[in-house]
This record gives sequence, structure tokens and C-alpha cells, in this order.
Amino acid sequence: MKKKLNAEEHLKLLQEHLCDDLDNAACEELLDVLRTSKECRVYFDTIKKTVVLCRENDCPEDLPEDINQRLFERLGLADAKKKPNTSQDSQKEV
Amino acid sequence: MDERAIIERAKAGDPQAQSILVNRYSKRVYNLALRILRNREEAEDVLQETFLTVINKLDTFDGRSSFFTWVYRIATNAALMVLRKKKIRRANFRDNDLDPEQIQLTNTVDWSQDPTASIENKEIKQRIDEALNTLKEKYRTVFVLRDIEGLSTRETAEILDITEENVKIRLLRARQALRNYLSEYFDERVAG
Repeated sequence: MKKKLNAEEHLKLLQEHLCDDLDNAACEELLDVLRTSKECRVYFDTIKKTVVLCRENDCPEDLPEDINQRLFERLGLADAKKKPNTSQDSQKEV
Repeated sequence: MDERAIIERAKAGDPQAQSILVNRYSKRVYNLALRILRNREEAEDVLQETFLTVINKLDTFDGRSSFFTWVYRIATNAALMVLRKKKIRRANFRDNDLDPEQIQLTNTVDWSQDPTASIENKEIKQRIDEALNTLKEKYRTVFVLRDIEGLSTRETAEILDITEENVKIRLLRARQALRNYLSEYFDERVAG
């Protein structure tokens, strides 16, 4: 028979889940918690939604050419940058 | 070309290899700095400082961490240095001494399914920007690295030179602070 978790254990479980550190057994416990505790479910859902919104709000920018130019000049690499084989190494997407 | 080989060439002073490394990581470093500092001029300063350090200290890179982690650690430290120099006294926005072992489940409206909870909603977008602008640096940095950049707890701990447990605590506080700030908007709407 499953041990009934107290409120503090519920929260600990939520915290671990939100850090993506739950194993499978703990995941099942969490699902039980979310089914039975409305407060925990609201907490969990609104935290998740907050992270989603923050991610959607984040728009990575391309490095502006003038900033890139100044960077290479500051590093003393402006000549190396002009050589054709360096441009083949494109940047990974953020 | 294999990154290890490029690093070895760069260590030996090959400007083309150094240039390849700069090209490979400059956009990510710039965006990381922008996310932490939320200021383009300062992000450019951090970009330059980071790669000056990378080039000058390349011989100290021993390959124990990934090159990416090493570069990110330098960039994060450079960004934090800018923040500390400015000595901005940020508002103690929701930053109480919340013990993450005892999370408060404050009563709030369940707005997670609300159709207006979208970045298409200008007020929400503004709230998110305000919240991130005022979140204390140590929380914002962890939030950016973990939730925006998508790094693991271990990578974040390594970059910030803190324990994984500390990363989790700061991440939890950051998420709660941001969530509480957004919740206020929906609570006010319901009350109003």
C-alpha cells in the first residue's frame, strides 16, 4: 500500500520535478499529488506556464555585423576573419 | 574539423583557428550576456572581454570541462562583474528568505489555461520583462542558464562554481518570483 505523502513531501516532490530530477517512481507519486491536491496542481501548472512564457518571450538576436567587426578588431583577428575558410564554420543556433 | 584540433591550433597561436572558435561561440555569448545584463552596450563589452580572456588563457584550458562550458563560465563571470561594478541596488523584488524546503503554496488563480496568458498579450510581455529586469542577479543568472539557455543543473553549477543543490534552490526561487509577479496580474484582474 502506498504511503500517503504529507504536504511538505508534496512540495519537495514538486520542487524536484521542476528541476527535472525525478525518477520514475517519484514521477508516479507526483501524478498522485497533482490528482489529489488542487493547490499543488495550480502551483505546478502556473510555474510551468511561467517558464514557457519566459522562453517564448526570449528572442535570440543575430550578432550585429558592426559588433562582430569590432570584436575581431579588438582581438587582432580582423585579417584572419577575412580568410575564406573561417567563414565555413557557421555558428550554431542559440 | 574536430573542435579539439581547432583548440590545439588556436593554442599554438593560429589566428584562423582562433577566428573559428570566436565565430562558433560569439552569437551565443552575446545572447547570454544580453539575457543577463539586458543591455546591448554592456553585452558587447562582455563579448569582447570574454574572447580576450578566451584567447589569452587558452593555454590554461585543460579539457576537463567542455570548451563550451569553459567559454560560458568566462562569459558569465564577465557579465556578473559588470553588474557588480554598476552596484545597482535592485529592488528586493519578491526576494524574501523563502526556504525552498518549505515552499508556500500561496492562493492564486489558476491562470495556466487562461487564453490571455500569452506573450501576444502586451501586458504579459511587459510583466515578464519587468520581472526579469528586477530579479536579483544570482537568481536571474541561474534562470537564464537553466530555463532559457537549457543547460543542465550540472553544467549550470559548473559554470557558476556553485553546488547543484544551490542551482536548484536559486532556480526555484527565480521561478517562484517570476510566477508570483505574473500571478498578481491575474489576481488583480479577477478582483477587479
